[in-house]
This record gives sequence, C-alpha cells and structure tokens, in this order.
Amino acid sequence: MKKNIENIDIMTAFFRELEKVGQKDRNLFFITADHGAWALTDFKKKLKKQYMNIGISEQNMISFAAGMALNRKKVFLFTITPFITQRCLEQIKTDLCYPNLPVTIVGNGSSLTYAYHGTSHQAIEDIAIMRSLPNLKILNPCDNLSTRAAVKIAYKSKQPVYIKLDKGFFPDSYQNAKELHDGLHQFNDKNDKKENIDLSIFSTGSMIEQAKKIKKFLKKENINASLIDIFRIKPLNKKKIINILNKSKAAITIEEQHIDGGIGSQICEVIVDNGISIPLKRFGINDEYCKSFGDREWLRQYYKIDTNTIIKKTLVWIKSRYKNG
Amino acid sequence: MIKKKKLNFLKEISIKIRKSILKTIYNAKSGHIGGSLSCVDILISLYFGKHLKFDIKKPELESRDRLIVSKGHATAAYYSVLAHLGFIKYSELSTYCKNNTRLATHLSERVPGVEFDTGSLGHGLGIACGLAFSAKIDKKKYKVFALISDGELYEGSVWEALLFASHHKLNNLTIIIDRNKQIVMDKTEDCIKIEPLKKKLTAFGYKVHEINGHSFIDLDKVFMKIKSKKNSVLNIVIANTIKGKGISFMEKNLKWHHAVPQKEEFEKAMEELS
Repeated sequence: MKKNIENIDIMTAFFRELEKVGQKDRNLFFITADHGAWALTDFKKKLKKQYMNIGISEQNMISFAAGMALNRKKVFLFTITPFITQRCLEQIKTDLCYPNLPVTIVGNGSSLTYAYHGTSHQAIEDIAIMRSLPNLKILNPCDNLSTRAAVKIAYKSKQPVYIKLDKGFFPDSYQNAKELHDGLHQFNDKNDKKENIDLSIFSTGSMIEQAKKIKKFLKKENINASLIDIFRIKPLNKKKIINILNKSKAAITIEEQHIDGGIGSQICEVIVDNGISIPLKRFGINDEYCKSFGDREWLRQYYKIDTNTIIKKTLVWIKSRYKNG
Repeated sequence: MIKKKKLNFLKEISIKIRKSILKTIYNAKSGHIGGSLSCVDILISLYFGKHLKFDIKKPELESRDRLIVSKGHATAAYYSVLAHLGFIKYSELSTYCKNNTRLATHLSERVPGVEFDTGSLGHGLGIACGLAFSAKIDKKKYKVFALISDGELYEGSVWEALLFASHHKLNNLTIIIDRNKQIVMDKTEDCIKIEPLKKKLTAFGYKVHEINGHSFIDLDKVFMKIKSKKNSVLNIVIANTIKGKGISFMEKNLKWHHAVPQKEEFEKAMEELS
C-alpha cells in the first residue's frame, strides 16, 4: 500500500539522504554498533570507505567518534535507541556534549517501536534524559521529509545532535522543507481557525499520525483544534509556543514517552515560566514498565495513549471545564 | 642509549616538577598526589625527552603528536609539566582549584597543550582510537599517545577500545599504562586481579613492553624503539610505577590517592626532594 509520495519507509528516506550527503563529502562517516537495516544496503555498497561496523560496543563508539570529530570528520552513529542513549550516556555527556563536538547520534526505533522485543529495546526515557544534556540538539522527525531535513540539519550542525529515527512507513505530513525551519509546525487545514483555538494539540514524531486522527475527531465534536508537531525538541522554539498558547483556550500534549520529562513537561515549563494561564492535559506513558508483551498498538492501549483513550479522556476533560464543549 | 647529560637533565626536571606537584596541591588543599607522582616521569620522558612532537608557541599545530591523558585526575603532574615547558605560566599553578580557574583537579582542554577533557575513567583510549584512525585516513604522520591508569582497566570501555585498536591495526597509537597497582581504596590485586596483564594484552595482539616507569633509561629506550618501528606492530607500554613515588611516606600508601599534605608533611616531603 502506497502510504507516502515516495513510497518508501522512513529509514530508507534517512539512508538515501545520508548517502546523498556522503557522496558529496568524503569526510562523512557512518558507524553502526552492529545494528543493520535493509535500507542501509545501498549506503554500504556505494560508500564502503565511509561505513564501519564497530561491533557491539556503544561506549567505545561514542568516544571513538569524539576522536574522529577532533579531526573534522562528520560522524553519524547508529544503533537501537536505548543502547545508543543510555548505555553510553556518560560518554555522550563528557566526550560529545561538554566539548560540543558535532557528532550525530541516531537512535533507531523510537519509543515503543520494538514493542514485543520488550523493555530492553524500547525507549520511553530517552527524551527526558537527553534533554538534560547541554549543547545537544534533539530532532524527532515524523515523516520522510522531516527525516531528510534532520539529516541535513545534523550534517550542517556545529554541535552534537540526537535524532530519533522510527521504523516503517509514515504518511507525509510536511509539504516542504521550509515548514521545518522553526523547529515546530502547525498543521492546519484550510478552514481551521487561526485565533481563538479551542484546543492546541502538541505532539511529536511517532504520535503525529494519531494526533491527526484525534484532531479530526474533535472537529466533528465542534472543538476547533490545532495540531503542532514539535520536530526540534531541543532547543525548543519557546517563542512560537508562547504565541500559540496565547491564542488557545486549552492544550493537550501527546507523546509516546515517559510522561515526565518529555514534550508534555516542556509545555508545562513554558506555561509556568511565562505566566500563561490555560489548562493543559498531558498524555504519555505513566511511571511504570509494562511486563507483558504485544505489538505497538497493544502497548499504546496498555499505557492508555491510544487514539480512542486520548479522545475519550480529552472530551471528558474539556466538558468538565467548558460546558457544551 | 640515553646520554648521561640528558639523563641528568631529566632527573633534575623530575625533582623540580615533583616539588611543583607538592606545592600546587598543598596550596590548593586539593588534588591527587599519588597518581600524579606515579605518572610524572612518563610525562617528563615524553615531553622533555623529546619523544612527543609539539610546539609551545602553536599548541594547535596540525602536525603535533596527540597525547590523550586519560587519567584526568593527574592534573597536578600534567599542569606542572605544561608550566615547566611554557604552555602556561608557572604563576598560574597557584590558581589550581581556586574560583574561576581553568586548572581543576580533572583535565581541561582549555589549558594550552591539553587535547581533551578527561576525568571519568575509561574514555581516553576510545578518543585516542578515533584520533589515530582518522589520522590514518587522512594520511597524517603524527602519532597518538594514550596515557591510561591501571585502574581504568576495570572499565569495560577500555577493553572495547583495546579490541578496536588491535583489529584496526592502529600502529600510530601508543598506549601507556601507568601500572601503579593501586586504586582509591585498595591495591589492584587485592580488589579484582588485573594480572597477568602482559599475557592478556599479548593475547589481544599487542607488542607489550614492560618497563620501570620511573627509569628514564627504560622510558627513553622504549619510546625510541616504538618510534623506529615501521611495521604494523601495536605497542603497549606497561610502565610499572609506584603511587606516591619520590616521597618515602607516600609511596604505596593508600592514603595518598588524594590526601593533602599538612604543613609538617609538606615540609618533610620538600626536604626529601632537596
């Protein structure tokens, strides 16, 4: 089934873009800690000298990349998210972020992607953790276009970057690269109101598709909602968020992350720090690990962040605050 | 063989720098004295014995050799060496651990001559691997040195890097282990055995040179030997050293990992060096 204009999955989009950049700059290196992908085949074949499997050694991978960056190499590091963010967290802190070296960490399989692989392979904590590292840029693309943009931004960056790279097919959300300039984007339909928005829905990455469905449903209920994708989680475009919040009566945040420390927390911080007085409800993963296994959708239901639960809870919440919706 | 004149010169410097280490730590009331005294002769041999290529006027010179001091707590020794060379002024050592200084107990690349910030153990070798590997890609001729402590051998990341350097035949990298056989709270062999170290590293594919890390004759000989080798031999130097070397009451004494000498101890230590 053709789900996006290019008819390719998000990882193919990533590696095609990386290959394009790598063809032009032989100083670009891609290093994996023994995590492969079909989408990587072409890059490996065509840019043999710019590819390395460093083995299952994430700590050394980060320190090694720091040494490469000292010699002006543009290094992209790749493996499954928890292994590349948490096992080697200290190396990221002291070898990349403190010296502010432009190395890109690509965590593959964001949030609950590795559903039935279990908690060891899932990453619900990474945003909260990585967000606390000074100098680190965090990008969370939601479709092929934003993934390609993330590659370009990371390549040009003069500081370390963390990209959350999902797996599978994602429908196109962005129409052109300009929409990504601000680090966040409002997906408005033609007849959406621009002022006096009933509900601003902030979401990111893998949850954008769900957020779109939620927006559509709420519209049927006469709730004029606006959807905002936070593509660049750090540094957050606070100015634009303040502006959006000031035009909204209420807001919700939807993420496939631990409820504390993710984008929900970020919006709370913006609200409190700027004396904005609108109600906010956060949807995210509560403070627990699920010990049963299932697919991604099943896990979202377990954690109560599936489309239906969010719609139901949002309606109850709005109705309790504003009678007649 | 090292000339007598050079040997005497190095010995003289080693006394001066040991005094500087003591003064720096005594003045700051902070610092790691034991590990500084164990690795200081290695640093002196590298810098003053001219085994390391550097330019005091151009610390960032592209063709310089790169030394990663992975045991980042040895700053009292390293900064004293850099001050003696002229990378920083001697007077700056009096700011060690004072407010708004660039000289802290752990290494900072803000200090001219220093390649990389270290402090948490087990990072430096991986960074050195990255430098050595990319130097080879760029066909750069400079050498990379990594000075690590034996305590770092408890970190898994060091063994990851050892596997890597061996597989990729990084013969432009020289690893020096400051084998003072002590960690903060214990002797290494009482805590978790590191021996037989030479055997382990040989099995990893390295040419292991075991030397006395306080003998300028040994140090000179080993660095000359490594420099002359044009083949793909991977070199590791196990420098057998003594924590607190040079001050009788500090030698091999666990207390002196980061104890600060009291006035009487300081005076006694300075007297021993005179």
